[in-house]
Amino acid sequence: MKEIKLVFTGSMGAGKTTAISALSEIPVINTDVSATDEVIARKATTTVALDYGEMTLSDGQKLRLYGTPGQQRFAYMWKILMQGALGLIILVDNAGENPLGDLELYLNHFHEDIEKTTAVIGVTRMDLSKKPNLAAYNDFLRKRNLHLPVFSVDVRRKQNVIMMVQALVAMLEY
Amino acid sequence: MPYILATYALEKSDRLFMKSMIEMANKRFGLQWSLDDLHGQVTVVDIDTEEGRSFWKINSARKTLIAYAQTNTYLAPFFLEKPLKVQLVTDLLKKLTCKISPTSTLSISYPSTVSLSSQASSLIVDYKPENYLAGLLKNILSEGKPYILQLTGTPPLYVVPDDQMCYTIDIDLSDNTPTQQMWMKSTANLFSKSPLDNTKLDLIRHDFVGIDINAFIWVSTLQSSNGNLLTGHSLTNTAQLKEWPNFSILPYDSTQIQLAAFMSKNIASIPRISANTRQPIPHIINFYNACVMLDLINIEKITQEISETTKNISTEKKSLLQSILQRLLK
Repeated sequence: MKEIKLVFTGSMGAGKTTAISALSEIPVINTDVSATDEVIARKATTTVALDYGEMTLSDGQKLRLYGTPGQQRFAYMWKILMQGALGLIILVDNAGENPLGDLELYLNHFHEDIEKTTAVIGVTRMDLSKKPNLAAYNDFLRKRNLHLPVFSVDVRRKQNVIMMVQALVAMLEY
Repeated sequence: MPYILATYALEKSDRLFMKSMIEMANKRFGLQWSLDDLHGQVTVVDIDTEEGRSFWKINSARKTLIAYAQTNTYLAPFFLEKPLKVQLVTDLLKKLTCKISPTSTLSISYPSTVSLSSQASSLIVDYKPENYLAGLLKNILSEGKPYILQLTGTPPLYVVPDDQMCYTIDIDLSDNTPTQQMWMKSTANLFSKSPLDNTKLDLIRHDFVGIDINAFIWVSTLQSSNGNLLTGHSLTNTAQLKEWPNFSILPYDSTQIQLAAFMSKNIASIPRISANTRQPIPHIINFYNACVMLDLINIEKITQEISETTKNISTEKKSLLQSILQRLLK
């Protein structure tokens, strides 16, 4: 049976684990996975951490929630996780060094997946850092000709996370 | 043949009242209606609730539904106004009896099949936001100075443009309390407006809760528009959202998320939006007005040409997406 999944991505500390916890009906599993990729195995054994949560739908199917490892050196995992995903939620830490740079990184990396499915952008920690503001994010997306929803969110608030998934579902319909 | 009326999203008290009124109508006019929770030839849907609106959106095309609400925002052919009245319930049951059994001897006038667009057009008048709180707040924002707005019988609103905040008692604008409705729907001339002394700002920030001014403008526009299009705008114009409303601070419902998704990806007129999203024109107008007030619609892009992308998703995927939404709202 095909897996039904949503992927949460973003830099370390952007709130992926918290966002998944808000939705998951099981405690979020932070998975250490041995990288068995042949290339990696030739060089060294390493571990990759990703988050996992799930929700049960009315017909018993599981909606699986994956959080990508934040470190860029595990970017190869991001693509693997996105295979067959319904869509992508990108969380950007507005209190980070270069939030728009972070967003650009994820948009570049996932641009093919976003074209096939869709993405929603949640900007976290805007209470700590007001700039860039949402207008700046929207300008950034417009220059890339992307019509994606951008919200300021507090992923500790379940309703904010639900809202992002609602937006993602709506984007998939239209 | 007995007829069954099902209900959806009604409060328990409304169900009880409705049951009594149906029994009275049956006795008086020889009707044969009963009430059921789940299944019936017709379903009464409380569209003042989000749950009811979602149900309406999914089922209005394939089931006979009655819109139960304070106002007939959906221009539904079968409508029951709140609060329930025996006469209205009786009249409606008679109409429905004739619809289901056309040979029935009950005399009724069946709703005309005037198209939705022309129905909506005949009802639309100009909406002037300056006549409501939304306009007052926009003016204060452009002036840049703090003011107190006071409406008799409600707490004051301390409007501080520098903070982009209205300070007031601790409220949630999603609650739509009677006080909030008074703010949002009262005409501007009922508000007193007085300058707010800058020396008092720190105290106000400390003693009251700050709510984003845009949230007030948003809710006020939605509630005071009443299906009327902004002055200077036309149903034949086309528009596209240049950015989504920030639903993390703006009260919203699932239908508005649908509208935002469609309108962000498409350049379309309001009737076209209605046809694609299956939402009533007055509801879309209210949303459109609110987006214009928050400068979310790219006015430079309004053209006479309609450009659309239509997505065909499989029934299976649609069902999956609905299932996800239902689970989220559980």
